[in-house]
Amino acid sequence: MGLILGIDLCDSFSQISVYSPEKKAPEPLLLGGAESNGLISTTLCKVRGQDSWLIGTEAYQRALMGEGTMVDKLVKLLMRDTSATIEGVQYSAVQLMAAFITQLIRLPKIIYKEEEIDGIAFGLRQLDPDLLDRLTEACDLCGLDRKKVRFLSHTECFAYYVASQPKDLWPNTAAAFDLTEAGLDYFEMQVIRGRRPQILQAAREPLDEAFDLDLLETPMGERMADTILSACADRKLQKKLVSSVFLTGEGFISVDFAKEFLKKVCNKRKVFSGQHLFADGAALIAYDGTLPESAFPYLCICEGRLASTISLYALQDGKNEQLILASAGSNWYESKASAEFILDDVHTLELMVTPFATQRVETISLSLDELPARPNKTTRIQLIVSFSSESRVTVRVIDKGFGEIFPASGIVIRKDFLIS
Amino acid sequence: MSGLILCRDKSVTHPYYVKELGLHLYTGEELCYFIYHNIPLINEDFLDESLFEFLNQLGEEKLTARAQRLKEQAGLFDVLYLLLQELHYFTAAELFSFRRQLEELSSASYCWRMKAKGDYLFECGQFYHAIRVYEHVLEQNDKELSDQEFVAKIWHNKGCCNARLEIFDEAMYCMDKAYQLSRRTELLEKMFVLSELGGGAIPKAAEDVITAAMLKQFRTNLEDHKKLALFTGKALEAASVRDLDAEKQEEAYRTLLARWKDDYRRNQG
Repeated sequence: MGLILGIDLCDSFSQISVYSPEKKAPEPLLLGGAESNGLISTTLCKVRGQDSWLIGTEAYQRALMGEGTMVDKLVKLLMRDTSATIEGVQYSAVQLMAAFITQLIRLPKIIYKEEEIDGIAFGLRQLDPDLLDRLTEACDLCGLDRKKVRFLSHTECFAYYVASQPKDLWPNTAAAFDLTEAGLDYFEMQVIRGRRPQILQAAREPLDEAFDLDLLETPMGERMADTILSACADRKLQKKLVSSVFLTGEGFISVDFAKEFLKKVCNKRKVFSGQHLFADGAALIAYDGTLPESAFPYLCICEGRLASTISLYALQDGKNEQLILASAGSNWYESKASAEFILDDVHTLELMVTPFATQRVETISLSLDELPARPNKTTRIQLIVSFSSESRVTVRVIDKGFGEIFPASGIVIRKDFLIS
Repeated sequence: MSGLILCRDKSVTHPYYVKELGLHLYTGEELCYFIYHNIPLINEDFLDESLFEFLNQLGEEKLTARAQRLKEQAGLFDVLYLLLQELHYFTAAELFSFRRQLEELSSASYCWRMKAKGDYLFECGQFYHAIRVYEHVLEQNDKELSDQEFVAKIWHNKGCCNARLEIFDEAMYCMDKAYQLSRRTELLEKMFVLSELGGGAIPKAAEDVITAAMLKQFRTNLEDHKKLALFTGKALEAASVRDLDAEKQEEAYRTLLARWKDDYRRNQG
């Protein structure tokens, strides 16, 4: 069996967890030295005069010694689609990310003595469509099979991670604080019972109180950070039935500075501090993706997942059936539906949007008046439904004509909709 | 009704070729449409191996087997109805109307059905095909051919096909045959027009019947038709291109000419 990897890919640090089929749990990839906590600096260094790349602490060290050129903030670079020139050669952000990922996945390959990768999931703070497109390109350059690669939000990784823990840790709400260079995020997850399958609803909230981690370098700064975090804990956890709180991110490598904050969060709750929450969650999802059918018993509604089902009615083998184009709970980036229909005396396409927890049905309509006039039932259309976020759906209708009897005009009707 | 019919996913690598119309069918829906709207064109030859191969390619193996069995046990029309019913392109009401069409056709004689096929090909602009079908009917030894009016119509229609192909002398011959059988005066005008277009002299027997007044009327009608021709058909299509901007005109002429060439080639059968 090949490797199943979960990678938490952030601008400052990245982490890898490897799913162990024997233990039926992910295990963090811990390296020696400065990276013994599993945090690998998202930094790339090209060794001077050689076609070799280094990552992490080694990249820093070699660059400091003047033996290579360093590039960091690789995720931001990819988001902006900029480039970097090293030794007179221009490298695109995609190429740099590909070089980083190649070196990153080399680590578990060496440690586990396994070259094959069966599944790989990347956990990201934000799921931006452009970022995901470029990451897909980067993964292609690394030779990763697209079918085996998934991109997930931190929220989803958090939900999967918590759901893999004993149920007594999350009878009510589970929460998490993620303190990194990029900011301070608060996560919440609860189960909506009384439905089959049960729904895991999770959300992320970037908190305005985020601070620079340099603040933790002085005692006074530590006290200030503790005060800020305490205020956040008061605001987010008060009057809520929170069973457990997870603290993660490089800001929580040590929690000694946050005495007041800990007092507040530990009040009648179980509190865990660790660095692999998102990578572990990603590894669990990567493993689930390798199964013929998902073993995850919940419908997950969170950032990166659709909160509504999109469907339409059409005649299938003579019967009027509801056809699901995208299901609530599916990953929007992977949700792309395409189907072909014959128009039978219809001038407007109507799609039904059904939010997951309600019986309410909204309708989105697309006029087909632009299509060429032809006899009834002689226009074949290709309907493509795709997403650029959880709430933004693009509907495209392509005129396919009717074979050689009525050739296709190539007309494309496109409209973007905001859905709940 | 929903207004949408979900298409079958299967795409074919070898489309079904309809030689009479010179077009390929790629989907089950196109096959249904062709059968429903072109029933006069379809005869027993339609149920050949290429049709069953096409159905197999569409992933309709069971339907193919049923159709093959039904071909042996029943006949053409039952197989056509089965295909339309099982491919779910038409509604129950449309299938009912199709059934009635089939019933009418099944009560007609072979020659009548072949004439209907020829007429249909003429309407589709498939003049060579239509001529071949009319000739085939005329070669039959059927009691229908003892009806002179019926035979006259076939000669007339064959003449029209030749006229459309600009084979005017052959057209004149056909019209004369039709006239000899039916003695209808409107055929005289057609023969006059053909002679004006280069189809040779009007045969003596017909010429003798045309009076000076009739001749005058024929001439007036022909002039009117010539004037009208400037504003219809291909002349009208060409005129619409003339109105375009100079830069778009050349491309539009090229496209129009290519389409006319395609039509012509297809009509050669």
